[in-house]
Amino acid sequence: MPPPSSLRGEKIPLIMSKDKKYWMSKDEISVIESVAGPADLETASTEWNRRDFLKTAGFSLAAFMTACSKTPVNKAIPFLIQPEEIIPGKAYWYASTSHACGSGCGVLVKNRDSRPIKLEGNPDHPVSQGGLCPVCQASVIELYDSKRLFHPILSGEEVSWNVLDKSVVQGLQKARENGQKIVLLTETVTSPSTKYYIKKFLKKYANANHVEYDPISYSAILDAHEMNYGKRILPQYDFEKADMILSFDADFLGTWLSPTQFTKDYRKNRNLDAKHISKHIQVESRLSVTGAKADERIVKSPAGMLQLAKDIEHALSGKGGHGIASDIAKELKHYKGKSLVVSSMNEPAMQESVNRINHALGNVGKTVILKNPNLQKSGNDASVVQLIADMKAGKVGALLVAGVNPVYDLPEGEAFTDSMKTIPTTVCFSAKQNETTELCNAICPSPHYLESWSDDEFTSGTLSMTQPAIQALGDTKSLRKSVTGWAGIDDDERNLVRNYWKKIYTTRKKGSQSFNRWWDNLVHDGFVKIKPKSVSVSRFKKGAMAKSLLKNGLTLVAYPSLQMLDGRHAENPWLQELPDPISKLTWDNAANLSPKKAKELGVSQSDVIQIKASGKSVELPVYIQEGQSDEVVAVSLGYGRKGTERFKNFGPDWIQKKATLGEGELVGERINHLLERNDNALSFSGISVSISKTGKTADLALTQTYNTLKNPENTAPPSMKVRPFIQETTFDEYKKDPSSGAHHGHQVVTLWKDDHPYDKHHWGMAIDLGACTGCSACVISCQVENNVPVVGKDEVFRRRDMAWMRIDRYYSGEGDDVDVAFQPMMCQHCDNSPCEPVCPVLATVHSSEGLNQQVYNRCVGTRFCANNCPYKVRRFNWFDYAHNDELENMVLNPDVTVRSRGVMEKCSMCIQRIQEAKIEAKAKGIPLADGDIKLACQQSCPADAITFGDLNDPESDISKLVEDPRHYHVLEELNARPTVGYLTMVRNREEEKGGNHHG
Amino acid sequence: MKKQLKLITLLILVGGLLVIFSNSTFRMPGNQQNYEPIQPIDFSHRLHAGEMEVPCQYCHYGASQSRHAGIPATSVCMNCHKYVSATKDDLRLEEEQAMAEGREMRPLTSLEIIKIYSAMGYDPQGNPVEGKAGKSVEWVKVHNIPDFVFFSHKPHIAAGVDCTDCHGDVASMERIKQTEDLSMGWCLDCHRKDHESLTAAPERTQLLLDCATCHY
Repeated sequence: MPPPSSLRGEKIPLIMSKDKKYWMSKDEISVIESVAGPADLETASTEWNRRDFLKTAGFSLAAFMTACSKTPVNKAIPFLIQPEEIIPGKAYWYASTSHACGSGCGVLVKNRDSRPIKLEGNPDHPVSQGGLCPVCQASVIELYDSKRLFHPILSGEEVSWNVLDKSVVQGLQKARENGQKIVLLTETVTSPSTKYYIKKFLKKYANANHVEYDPISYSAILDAHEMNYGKRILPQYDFEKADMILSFDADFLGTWLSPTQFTKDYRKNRNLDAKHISKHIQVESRLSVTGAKADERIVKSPAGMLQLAKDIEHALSGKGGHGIASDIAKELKHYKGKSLVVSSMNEPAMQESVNRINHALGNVGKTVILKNPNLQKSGNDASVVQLIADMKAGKVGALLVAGVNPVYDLPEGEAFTDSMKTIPTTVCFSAKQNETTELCNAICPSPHYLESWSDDEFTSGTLSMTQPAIQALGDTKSLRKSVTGWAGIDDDERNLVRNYWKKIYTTRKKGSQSFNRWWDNLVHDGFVKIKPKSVSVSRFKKGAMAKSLLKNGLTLVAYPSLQMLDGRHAENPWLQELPDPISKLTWDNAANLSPKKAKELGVSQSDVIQIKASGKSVELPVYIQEGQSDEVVAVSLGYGRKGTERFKNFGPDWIQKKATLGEGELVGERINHLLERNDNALSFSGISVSISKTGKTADLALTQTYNTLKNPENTAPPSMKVRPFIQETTFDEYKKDPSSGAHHGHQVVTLWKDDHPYDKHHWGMAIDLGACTGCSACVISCQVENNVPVVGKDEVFRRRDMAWMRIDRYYSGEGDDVDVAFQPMMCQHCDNSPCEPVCPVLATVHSSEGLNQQVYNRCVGTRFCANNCPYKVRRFNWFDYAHNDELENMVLNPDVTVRSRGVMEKCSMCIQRIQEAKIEAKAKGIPLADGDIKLACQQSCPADAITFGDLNDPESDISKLVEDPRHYHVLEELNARPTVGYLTMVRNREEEKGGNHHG
Repeated sequence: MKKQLKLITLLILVGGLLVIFSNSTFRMPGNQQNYEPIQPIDFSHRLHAGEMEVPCQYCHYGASQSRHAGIPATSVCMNCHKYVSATKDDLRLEEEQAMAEGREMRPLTSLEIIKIYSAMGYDPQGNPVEGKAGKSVEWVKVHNIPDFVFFSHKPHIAAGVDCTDCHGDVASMERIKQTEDLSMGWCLDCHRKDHESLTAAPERTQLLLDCATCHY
C-alpha cells in the first residue's frame, strides 16, 4: 500500500496503535482522511499486490496438497535370531547391585529391548529392602552419557588395550627396577574377588601397596574402634532395634553411610499402632533431612556438639552434668541396650566419645554390631597423608588411581597435582574425564555398573551380585580385569568373578548346593547369604581422648550434597536439577547462613560472599537457612566439578535465554581446598573461616519460591488466611485421640450430581507425612519413569521447572526452634477437578476409574487448566525439551509419550503401570490384587510413605488408610475432592510447640 | 479484483479435478487404508496362513504377550525353511528330470528363500558361511498408528478379538494390505459395542471409552 501523504505532500506517520497519539500534520488535516479507503483500492493499480499473491498461493497450495499426501515409510526390523526370553515390547528384569554410592543397594533392572531404562529396589535385598535413593534412581542415565570414555587413552591418543597394557606393564617394571613404590589408590574395595586379585598384583610387583580412601571420610570411626576394640572396623547400625536415637550430625536418612537401609529400618520402629515409637534426637549445626525428621533437634556449632557429647558422657558415668546433657543422659539411661548413638563427624575426639557412650549404654552387640562389621567403608586417611608425602619426596614410581578423584576430593589437590606430574607412570581408571584423568598418561575407561560383572560384600554375611544388563557400550575394562591382566592372569570379566568363587565358595556357602546351582541362584536373586567373616574384637579399652581441633567462632561445615554426594554425579542433569530437599536450590551450591548471622554480616540472599580459610578462599552466593547454628557457614560438597562446563548452554534455545553458566564457569564451587586435617583425619567441619562481601550478586534457581499453597497475605479473606495443609500432632496426643491434629473441613453441599460413578476401580493414594523424610527419591523415580525433561538453570529460575512431583518444604517456628515439614505434592486427581471444565478442547477429562487424564495429542496449550489448578501441579512444555541424542534417548521409557512443545503435562498416576497390570490380569483371567500395581514414586520410596490402591476394594491398604482418623486432604475447603490424601505427621515429643500446627 | 477471483476459482477447480480423477483416493493425512507396500521378501500369507493353515500366533507370538504382535525373526522362518527350500512342484520337476537324466537331484532353492538364507548369512544352499554375518530383514510396516496412541495387542487377544477383525482376511492376501482405516473412530466403533460376541462383560464398555485407555 502506498504510504499516505497529505495534500501538501508531507509524509504522515503510519503509527495507528491505541497507545500512541495520532498527531496530525502541521495543517491539522485528519490523518484518517488521507489514508487510502476501500474506494481507493478499486481504482488502485491492477498490478498484483502482496496480499493477493499470498491468498492465491495459499489456495493453490492447499489444492495441490490434498491431492498428494504420502505418509513416510515405516520399517519394522525384527531380530535375526530371536533370543528365547525376549519378547519385543515386554520388559524383562535383571537382579543386580548398584555402585552409584558405595552402600550397595540391591536393584532390579528393568530392560526394554536390551537396554536398561529403570531401576527398582530389590525387595528381598537386605540393604535396599525395596527402596532406592534418588542418586541410584538417577544413575541409569549415566550409562548413556555420550561424554563417557569409550576407548583407552595413552598420552592423549586413543589406543588399543594391547598398546596400553604393554605401556603400563613397562612403567610398572621400570618403577620396580628403580626401587620406587607402586601405589594403587582406590576407594574402599568391597569386592572379595578384586581384593584377591589386587593381592596377587601387589605380590607380583614388590614394593607395591594398596591405599584406600573414601572421599567422604569415615576414617575417624574406624580409627576410634581400633583404639577401643583393637580392630579397625565400621560397625553395622541397627536402627530398627533402637528405641532412642541420638545423632551428632549424622544425616543417616539422607546421605550418611547407607541411607536407604537406615530409612527402612528407622521406619520399622515408628509404627504408630505399637506402644512405643523410637525417640530421635538430632544434634547438628546445619539443617539436614535427618534433622528435619527428628523428634527433637538441638542446634550447636561443631565444637559445641563435641562438648555436648563429652558432657553426656560425663553425665552417664555419674560425674554430674547439667542442662540438656543431663536430660539426654537420663533418657538414654532409660533406653539402655536399646539406644543408638551415632556421629558422622570425622573427628577422632567425637568418635571416641560416641564409642564411650555406646559402651556405657550397653549398645554394643545390640544396636552397634561389631562382630559382623559393615564393609562399605574402610578408607584410611593416614595412608593418604603418607602417600602424599611419598609422592612429594619422589618415592612413587607408578600411581594407579581407580574409582576416586583425588585431585578434586583432597584438600591437597594442588600439591597432589604437582607431585603427579613428576611420577613417570600414572594410570587412571575412570568412566569420564575428570580432574585426575587429565594428569594421567594412561586412562583406562571403566564400565558403568549396569554393564559390569562384580561380586561385593558390603555387609559381612551378604554377597551381592552385579551382572550386566546391557552389552558394554564401549571398549571398557573393569579394574579387576586390568589388574589381573597386569599380574599375568588372562580371563574374561565374568569368569574372573566366577572362578574365584568356585575356588572358595565351600568355605563360605550356606547350605549344600553344588557350585553351579549356588552361582545360578546368586545371579538370579542378586544376592545370597554367606557365612560372615566374623571379626574378633577385644574388650572395650578406654584409650586416650584425642585432641579436638574444632574451632570456636565462625566455622565452615562442608556436607555431602544429597544429589552429588562427593561430586561423582556432577554430570548427571537429573541430579543437578533435583532441588536440595532443605534449601530447594538447583544447579548450584550456596553458602548457607542463619538469618541472624546474615544480618550480622550485612548480607542478604543471593549476595556473593568470599569465604576464606587458612589462606584459601572461595566465592559463593548466600542462602539464608533457618535452623542453622549462628556460628556456622554450611556449604555442600560435590560442586565445582570439571566436566560440568558441558551444561553451559543447557536448556532450550530462545531469544531471552540466559546461559546456565558463564564463560569458563562450572556448576557451583569446589570447597575441598578449604578442608583441613586434624592430624591425619580429614576434617569437614569446625574449620575457622572469615567472610567478606564482594558486592556481587548471583541468581539462585530455587523452586520453593513459587507454586506455593499458602494464601498470599493481601488477597486471602480473613477466614482463609491460614490453610491447614500441613497437619501434625505428637505421639502422646495421638495415643489419646487418633484424630488429634487432623483438621477437617465442613461437609460441603455440592451442585454437581454424582456424575462420576466408579464401578470397577477407583484409584486412590495416601502419603504419610510422618514417614516422608523429604529425600526426593520419588521425584527422580517419577522423572525416569515418565520421561520428564530437564530444563536448565534459567528456566527453573523463571519458575518453569518440569517436575511432576515436588516436595514442598515448610518451616514453622523460627531460629533454633524451627520445625520442618515435607509434603510431596503431585496431581491430586480431584473428583471435582477445577482443571477439567475449563479445557476448551477437553484434553483433560476424568476417567471412569477416578484419574484425571491428560491427553497430550488433544492439548492445544491454552494453559487455562494450569491456571485453575489450586495445587499448582500442572507443567507446561514451553519448549521442545527433547533433543535427538541417540545415546541419551535410550533411557526414555517407551511406554510413555515424549511430550512436545505446547502441551500440558502432569502426574498421570503412572497410568502406564496401571494399564500394564490391568492387561496382565486380564490376559491371565484373574482379578487385580491389592499391591499388583506399584507406582514409580511409591516403589522407590525408602520410607514407604506412599500407598496406592483401589478405593473400591474394602480390603485394600488404601481403603483402610482413608478410614484412618489421620487422613485428610489438602485444601479440602475448596471441594475439589482429591483422591490423594495425606496422613497427619506424628512426632514423638512431649508437647507440640504452640499447640497443633497448621499451615 | 475480478481477475484475481477468476484465477483463484480456476486453480481450485483444477486442483479439485486433479484430486477426483487422479488414481489416488482422497484421505485424511495418516490414513493408510488399502496400503499394500512391496516387501523386501515376497512372503505370501495366502500360502502360509491360508493353504498351510499356519496359525497367526505361530509367527506373531508377541500378540498375546506384549504390545506388539511383532514380525517374526528370521530364525522363525528358518524353523521350516531350513528344510523347505523350494516349492513342491519345482522339486517334483527336478526329481523327474534327475531321474530322466540318471543323475542326483540338484539342491534347489527358490529365489525368495535365497533371500532368507542371505539374510541369515548363509549360502544359497542354506549352509552357514565361515565369517559371514547376517543382517535382519527390513520389513515395511503396513499397519501404522501414530506415536500418541498406545495400542496393545495383549488385551485384545485376551478379550477374544479375532485377528481378522482388524487385519482383514489375511489368509487370502498374497501381499499384506491394510483393509481397515485404523482411525480412532473405527476403533471406537468396536469399543462402543455391547460385546455379546466377546468375552468381556458389558460394563467394561465405559472403561474402553476413557481417553487414557489409549492416550497416555
